[in-house]
Amino acid sequence: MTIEASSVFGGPFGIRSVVPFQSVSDLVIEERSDLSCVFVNAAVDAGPVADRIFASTGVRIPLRSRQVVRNADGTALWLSPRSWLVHCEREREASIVSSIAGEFPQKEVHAIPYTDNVVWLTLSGSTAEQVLRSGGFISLAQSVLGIDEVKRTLVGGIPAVVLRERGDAWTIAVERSRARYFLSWLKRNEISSS
Amino acid sequence: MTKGPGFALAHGRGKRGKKVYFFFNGRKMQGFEGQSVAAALIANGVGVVGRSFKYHRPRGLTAMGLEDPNSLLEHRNEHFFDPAAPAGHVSVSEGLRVRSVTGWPSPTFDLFASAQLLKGFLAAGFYYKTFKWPTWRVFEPLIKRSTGFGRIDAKARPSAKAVRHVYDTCDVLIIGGGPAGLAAARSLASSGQTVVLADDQPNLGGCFKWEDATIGSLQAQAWLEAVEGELSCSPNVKLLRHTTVAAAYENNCFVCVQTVIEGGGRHSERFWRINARNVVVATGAIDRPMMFPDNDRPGIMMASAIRRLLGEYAVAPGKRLAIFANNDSGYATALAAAQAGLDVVCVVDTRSKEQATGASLAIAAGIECLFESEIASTRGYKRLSDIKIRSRVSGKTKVVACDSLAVSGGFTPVIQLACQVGRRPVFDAERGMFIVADAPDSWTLVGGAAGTLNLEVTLQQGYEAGRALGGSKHAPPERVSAVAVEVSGSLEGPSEGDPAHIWVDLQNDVKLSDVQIAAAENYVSVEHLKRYTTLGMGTDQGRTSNVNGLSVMAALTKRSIDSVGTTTFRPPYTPVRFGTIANGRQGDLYMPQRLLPAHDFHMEKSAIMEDFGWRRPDWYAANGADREQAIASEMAAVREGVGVFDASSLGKIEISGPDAAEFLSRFYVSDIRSLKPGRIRYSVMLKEDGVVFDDGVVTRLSDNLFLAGPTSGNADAVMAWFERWRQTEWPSMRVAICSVTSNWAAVAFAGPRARDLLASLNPDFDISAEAFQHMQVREGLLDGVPTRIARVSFTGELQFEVSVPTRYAGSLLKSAIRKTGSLSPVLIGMEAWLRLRLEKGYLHVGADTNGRTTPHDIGMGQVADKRKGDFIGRRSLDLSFNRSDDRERLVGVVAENGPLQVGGRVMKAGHTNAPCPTDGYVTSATFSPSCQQWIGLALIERGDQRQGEIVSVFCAGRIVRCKITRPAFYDPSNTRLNS
Repeated sequence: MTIEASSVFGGPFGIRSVVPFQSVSDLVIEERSDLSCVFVNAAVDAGPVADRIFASTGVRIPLRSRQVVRNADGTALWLSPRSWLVHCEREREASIVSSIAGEFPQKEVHAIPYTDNVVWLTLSGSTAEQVLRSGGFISLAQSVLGIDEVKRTLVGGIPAVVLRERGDAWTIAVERSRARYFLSWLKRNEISSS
Repeated sequence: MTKGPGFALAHGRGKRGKKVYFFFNGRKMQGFEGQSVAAALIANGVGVVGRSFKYHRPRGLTAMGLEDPNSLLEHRNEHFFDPAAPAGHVSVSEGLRVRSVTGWPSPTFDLFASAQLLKGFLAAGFYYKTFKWPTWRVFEPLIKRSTGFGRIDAKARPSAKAVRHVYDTCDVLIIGGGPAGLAAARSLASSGQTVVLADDQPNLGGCFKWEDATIGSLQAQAWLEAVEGELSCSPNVKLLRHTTVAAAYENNCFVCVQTVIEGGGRHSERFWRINARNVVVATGAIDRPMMFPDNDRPGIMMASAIRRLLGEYAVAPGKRLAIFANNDSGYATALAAAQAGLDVVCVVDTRSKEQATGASLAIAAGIECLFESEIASTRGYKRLSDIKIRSRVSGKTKVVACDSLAVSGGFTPVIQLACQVGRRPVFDAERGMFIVADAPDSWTLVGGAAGTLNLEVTLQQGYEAGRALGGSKHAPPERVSAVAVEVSGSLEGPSEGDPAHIWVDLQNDVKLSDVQIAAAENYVSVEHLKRYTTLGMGTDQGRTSNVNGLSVMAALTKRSIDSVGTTTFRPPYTPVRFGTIANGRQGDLYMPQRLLPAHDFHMEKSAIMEDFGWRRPDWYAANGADREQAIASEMAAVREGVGVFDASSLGKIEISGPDAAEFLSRFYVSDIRSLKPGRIRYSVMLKEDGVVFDDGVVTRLSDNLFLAGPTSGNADAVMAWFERWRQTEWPSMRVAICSVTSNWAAVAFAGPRARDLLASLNPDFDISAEAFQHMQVREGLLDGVPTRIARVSFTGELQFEVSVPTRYAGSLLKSAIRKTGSLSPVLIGMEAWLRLRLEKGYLHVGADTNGRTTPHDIGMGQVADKRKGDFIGRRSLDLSFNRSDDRERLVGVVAENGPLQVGGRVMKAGHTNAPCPTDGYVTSATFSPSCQQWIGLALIERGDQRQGEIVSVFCAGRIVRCKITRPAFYDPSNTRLNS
């Protein structure tokens, strides 16, 4: 018997694939099961432990809101003053978790493999911004959420992490159980935004 | 149809759009694109547009904006349907069909007008007193038929009015696109700040669209075009026309509804939610009506509405216009009407000649001005025919023939938005109006909204507001020449006249006599006055009536208006359709749905899904011919073989950090600190009042890492509960919290052969009964995949809860239900799962508890009492009513003579018939295949002291005899789950 992995929309796991749906505009939605991630959660203030996290994992965590730090060993996204998401190669996920566990045996900082908890979708196209703006209180002005900046917010009534990749491209994480709802919501709002 | 006196003038200030045809009550009429329906109706001579709410008196249009209480009409074309929209807010378009929403069979001939004969019985509070016998139900249908505004048309396509929700943020939100709002926007245009300007009208400009004013060297219209041009070119200014800011909430969050009219009369709406750093309120002020006998006749309109009709739409309300006012607005109206060629028969002013500073221009124009006078009566049933004027000095009267009457009783600043965020209006006696004395932080009220009536000052306030927010420092000094209206009129009622014929609230048919009755019956509080008389209710919310009503009540009770106060203004300012708010939230998008990670697998396996917060299989059609059969076979599989149940939705929250054990122990009744790593403990958590909030198991994965397992439905609430206490009460605790519910797919194997099934999946650790005991957890690999397996039981059988990363959910289930040798695992749905736990007597929080249930009531009193240290809710458990022996206790009930039902009431001893006093109710019930009888759990007063007692339970019309037992029906010694 072999237990196999599959993506949230039923496709193979670990690749970047376009979600098939009949777009009425140029909106493209890609499922990003190629993005692995680790949730890093601190029980203490981040400042004193940031260097230790970097030393043990090679990942420099951001210390200000919206900040994204691209490291060779993973891209760290700011979620809150004490929590971060680290995008990494699939193979790096376990080693980041174990490195932090080794560095912080008292669990002042705790790392959780988080790839399964969320689904990452990349939205691109000229209507992407309009669609997102119909969903929640997030200013998508570049002066507020610039390229390579991230925000945790509500979109379409559900919690989401929104990372601006380009002027017209966003990578968004939503909890896996809500992924299909979110996709339906995107489709519906694409129609009404077009 | 009775022909009204209105007609279209040859010329007006505004530009006329393309000629279009529309229909009113089936009659074809001509209008101009962009013209409001209200103006078009008057231009076509429509006098009566509907009937009044209660007495069914003929009613005509009284104002041109949202404030008109009479103007609700049904509008439709092939693209949209609105059952009741203000006529001043809808633009005419080709083929538009407009219909009156009151009056049957028509507003000009209304059979319900006979209600006027019964007016003596229909005074305020009549429905509380009159329709009691034999029962209100007899009268309800007729009253419903004869009242209300508009009828829903179920055939109207729901998609006919497309709605789009838009969120936006800005540095400055300017509410109102009149002179003050435009000046503020102009000042801010070059500041680099993002500015949103919203105005409820299709065209910006406010009164500059119709008033005869000169700004600097420019006529108002030219000034308007220049400013609008500037703003349109400004990339940081967004102009939202036809957008009503309907609601204001904390943190400067505003809800706006925008009407967008596209080609062919296609209407769509945008529902904006705007977060603004700063707010400029330039909503202006609206006219107040005058109170005099029969002041509700068609043809009586607000003075400003008549100026707007003439100036913006080039429409005359009639040929012979009289004016009744207590301020200089009357003279501005008289001059505008005379200039348009109307016969202005007189201006009746309640003030003395000395006070009426604006009268000189009217007198110079040859208009008769009657000072210290009032209107004693009016005549004309379906249209005004004449007015009787009485001198307040001499008492002499004279009758003047006229077909229209402009009234202005002063001005009411539109301050509702500020009040919605908690500001109480205060009465400015000098200006005779309610104003906002302390604007909310980051808000600036300007112009009419601030009580300013002078146009030049209004403009300067707008510029100043922009400047204060970082706008241009060099505002143009603009002199405004216009007929000056400096002060609002004083608030005084008529000196004489039958109060039963003087209307205070036109929309709700509230008369002066109704307010008098309210005062006589001591409904003198403004909130009581509103509820008793309906003054200020309905879609109108007292925009034109409140202040007059308050002034009457103040006079009747010999109080100042300020001490009478106003009612509370709540959102929305204008009605917003439910469909606009709901938007696409229907069907699967009604609310965010949560799907199990193996949703597709369950659908393939014929799962019948139910919404339990998550979409979960209720039962599997493949397991039986119908629901009951399927559930029976699923239960049998668990009791005799092995069942496979998807428990992925169960909450999973990781709590880590040096203080994690102490932190968790403050939430749970059981002492989590004493839990050893690798062990699991069941417990409940309470709110501060000692009432059970949630239950579940807590797993200690390592010294400083715990996994809390709240119930599926409560997982988000428990997570928020943890965070709230961590952040607000115990910020120094070294704890981190993370929800990992969706990280793990959890599948329970339950039944005597559960271990065999687990073994078939090749765990890399010992799962024997000795090595892996009940309430323990193991981490390792399952067929090479990381896993956490908890040995817990919800069914009373040997049970393993197998968790793997979610990506493996479908594959794990597929593998688990594969037949292997003699092993035939069966998929189990929610209903069978819940019935199995009921046989075991386990608690289902929410079903077996209510808003009063404490640990003592569910058999956990000893745990709570023996617990060392504090936990949330502990102190409340010591309160006498929580310690009382008379409380409802959770017990088992076994039926002796028939089926039990959830909700069945336990009758008090000695009673044999319902209704009767009760001792409690059945919280869970099922037929137990294991016990071969109907069993249930029930919350019964002193239930724990009544074991063995036979009680009567009233279940859906029949009485079932039940024996009170301990709440454990199956394997009470726990032999099976420990196997």
